[in-house]
Amino acid sequence: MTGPVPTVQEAEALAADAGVLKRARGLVRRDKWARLGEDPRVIWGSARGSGKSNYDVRLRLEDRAPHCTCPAARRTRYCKHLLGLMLLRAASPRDFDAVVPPDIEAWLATKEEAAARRRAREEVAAAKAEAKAEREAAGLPPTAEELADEAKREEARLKRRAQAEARVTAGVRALDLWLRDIVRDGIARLETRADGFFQAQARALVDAQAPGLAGRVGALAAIPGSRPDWPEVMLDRLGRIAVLADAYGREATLPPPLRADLRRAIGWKMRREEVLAAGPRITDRWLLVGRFRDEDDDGLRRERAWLVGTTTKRRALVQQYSRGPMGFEHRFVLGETFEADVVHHPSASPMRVAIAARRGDSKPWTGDVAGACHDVEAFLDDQAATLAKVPWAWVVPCILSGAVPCPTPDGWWLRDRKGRGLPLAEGTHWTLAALSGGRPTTVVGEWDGRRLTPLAADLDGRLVSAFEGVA
Amino acid sequence: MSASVDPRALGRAALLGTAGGGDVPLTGTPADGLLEARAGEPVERRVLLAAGARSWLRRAGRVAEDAPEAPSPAADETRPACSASVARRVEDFFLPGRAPLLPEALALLDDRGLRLPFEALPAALTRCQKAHRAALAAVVGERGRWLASHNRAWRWVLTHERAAAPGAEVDVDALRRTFDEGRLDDRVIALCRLREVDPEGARELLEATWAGERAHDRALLLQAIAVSLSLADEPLLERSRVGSTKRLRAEAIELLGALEGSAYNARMAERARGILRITSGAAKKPGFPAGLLGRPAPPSLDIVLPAELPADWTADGVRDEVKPGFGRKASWAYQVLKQVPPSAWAGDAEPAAVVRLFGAEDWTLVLGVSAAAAERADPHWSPVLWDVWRTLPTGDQAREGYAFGILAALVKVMPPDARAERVRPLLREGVRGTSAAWQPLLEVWEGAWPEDVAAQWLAGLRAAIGRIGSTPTATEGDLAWQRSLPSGARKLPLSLLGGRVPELPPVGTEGLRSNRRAWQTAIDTFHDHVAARIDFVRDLDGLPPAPLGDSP
Repeated sequence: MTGPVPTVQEAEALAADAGVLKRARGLVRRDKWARLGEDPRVIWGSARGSGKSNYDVRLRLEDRAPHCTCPAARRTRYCKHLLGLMLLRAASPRDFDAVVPPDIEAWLATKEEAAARRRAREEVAAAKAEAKAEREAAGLPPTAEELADEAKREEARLKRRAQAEARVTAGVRALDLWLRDIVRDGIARLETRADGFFQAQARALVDAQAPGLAGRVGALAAIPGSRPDWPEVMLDRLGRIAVLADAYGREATLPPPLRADLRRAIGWKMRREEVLAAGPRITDRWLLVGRFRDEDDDGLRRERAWLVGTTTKRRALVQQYSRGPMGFEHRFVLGETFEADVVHHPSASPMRVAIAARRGDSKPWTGDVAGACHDVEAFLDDQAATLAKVPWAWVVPCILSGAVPCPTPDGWWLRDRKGRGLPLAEGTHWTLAALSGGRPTTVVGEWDGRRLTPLAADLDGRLVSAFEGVA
Repeated sequence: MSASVDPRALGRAALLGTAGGGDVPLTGTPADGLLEARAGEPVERRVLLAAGARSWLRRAGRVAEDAPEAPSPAADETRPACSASVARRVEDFFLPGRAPLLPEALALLDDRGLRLPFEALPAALTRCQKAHRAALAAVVGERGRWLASHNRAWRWVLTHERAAAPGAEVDVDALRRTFDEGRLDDRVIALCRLREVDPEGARELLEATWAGERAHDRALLLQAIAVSLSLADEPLLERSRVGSTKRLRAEAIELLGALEGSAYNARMAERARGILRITSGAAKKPGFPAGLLGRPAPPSLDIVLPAELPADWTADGVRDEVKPGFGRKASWAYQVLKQVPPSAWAGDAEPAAVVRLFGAEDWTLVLGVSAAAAERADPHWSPVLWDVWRTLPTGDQAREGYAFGILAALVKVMPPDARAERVRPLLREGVRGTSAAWQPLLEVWEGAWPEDVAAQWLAGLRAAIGRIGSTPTATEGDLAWQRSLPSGARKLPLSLLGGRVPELPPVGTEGLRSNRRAWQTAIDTFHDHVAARIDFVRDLDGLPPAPLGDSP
């Protein structure tokens, strides 16, 4: 019901960026507020907006549930008014009245009701789970009700599963036809196709619950006409998609780990619980060695966080998505370590993980990155070994020590200590250049088989971001 | 692998389509063997599978390629980097709304002997506006200069570079090579750097190629002579003074004017003395020695303009053109006077006494004298001339047009003490909201206002906010207070603030809504900027951000 009053530090921590915090500081003045009040359960205020009406700002103290009627609150969880209210309460408690007006009471009541409903549901579930655990411990058989519940759930799951299998199979079959049509008509014809040609097929694959294939087909749209040898590139990509689709038709013949890789490439998702049940937990202090982020046209943000265990030297990839005001579920700091148990997704070459439990704060870290390759040749051998195990590993991590970024008019390269190199992604990499200054350093990046996208570089024993994409 | 395999056959088949018939061409890779097992399937699918397998084989079989030569490494840093949080604040100041705070922040960094950390450099160099380049160049360190040498867009860092740090090695041969072979802008920069280490050698280098340079390039290359300028450069400049293009002549004359002791300056001074003839009071009245009555008798002034424009004047860049509002002869005189420091013709005479000798109709000449004082930042003449322009009677439109610009130029170069002396009485008037004359003086201040002036300004600002709504429309005097908020946010001395944002009274609810809103916006920005300055310095000193101010 009650909670601690907010502190300046808390408000700063909740701010999505420096800008909103700055604007919030502008509200830390009594004259910016029409009313201000607090109660052990809630603090509230009416912020004077630029328009006619004020914005109602409320913060339930128990769970920090925010509420603000300003337009920004629809996009972000803690808008400037909420942060301003918290900062003002921290700075100047005497400005807050203690009488709770009816609208605040009503709001608290609805919040309380929702919480009560949630608690009730949880209690029933917990009671059932407890009863079940007791009986299991006592060696008693499950009750009829439990068996019926379980059977119902299992049945629904199998039905959903069968439907999905059928949809994906149909989608892959349609994809095979589409691919064959392209080759029959000739790739040259693609240049004159309407813009929606690839997107239509990608959408069909999304509907068929094969988002992995959909993403690969959608990416084809950028190829026609992009460079003189585009038909070669297109054939290359079409070929890879065809191999994927073909393998799916014969997935039953593949060994289980590789089959898991294949299904992931098609777009099958494993529930977190399934992943956690599938393999052993690895406990370590994990170092975030590189982070790739991008955002698609629909506002879906994607993050690939590459981890290296400081004790086990294992590598791990955490892939997360987010949309709208909510940030990513797991927050990592580049070049810092955190303690966690992780479980690898089933794979012939395990890399992607689910985080089972995370403990404590992340801590700064200095030292060498474990498992770095000393030259390009060694790295290419590594990636060939990975490809031999998982032909669908399209992006592999690269950690290269003793590397110097070389800007040239015809593109950037990363040069190893033997004078061999990897071409860097299109565009410029001045942050990487600034970190290196023409001296050898350890560079972390993603290799897509053609070019390396730098993510981070070592600066005096600490990793600093060299990624030039979305922050 | 068959010798008859054409590696491009597969691509050709796919490009043109398989509708015309034919089987899957061999790729010459192990993929061919894999495909034999799929012989009965449609040809299109087999083409695709062959392409997919080949793609995979190519990627797995990739061998390391030779990389381009590595760039030569950057020199070791001579300064420590500022902290990451200070760097983030600097990055903030590059945002458009905060840009006015940038110069102070960069100057403070430079003052503390710090530089920006490596990772902050690309963003700072990319975002830097022209006006802030010199200040940024001072704190980019060796790494910033190294980056600039690799990125054409950042070359300006090298031109802003101060004299090479002691012990820093200058690669003279590389610079000479750049001068011989580089693009024009690189050649100018190389020549500037060479002038720093070896002015004589650099000039000889330029003179050796001079005959072969294009006329347009000569003017640009001559700019480099401004670095380490000395009398030894005079012959080259004198030759260029009568050079082939207008731009080259103008460039040479400008450098000759900047060259202490040049024959050009001597000629111009002689001409100025011919125009403005000062006779000391004592000489005018024989028999009465100067200072007989305890103070020197006042001097007198004769103004003599030439009837025709002399040819030697023209050769020294005086043009026969008429400035708007000027007489023809006055235009010549103006061009001469603005090149000559006032003391060259006025001697030891007291500036205040000399300016009194000009009549109101002589303002064009006073303008020339004022331009010279402003150009040379003459500490004695600029305040006195500012007084003259401020107290000139109104009525002459042309004159008033020039007065505005020259007042701004003079106030800029005036010593801060003289400026403070002049702004105090104006501010006292302004506190009542009846005058806006103080504002331009405070506006041009570079760096912080003196504490007493700042305190006076704050008092006046509070009074002005208290007056909001007391008159139906905002007065010009009160609007001046509102307009001065941005410079106040920048120029209130940090020492006066004592680590706290000054409190201002609330805007209230009286008067025009639009006016209240404009005030509120200006006050909010003021608060934000002052807080950002305070926090920046605290951060620089390793202190936590300032506590939030109590609500008023």
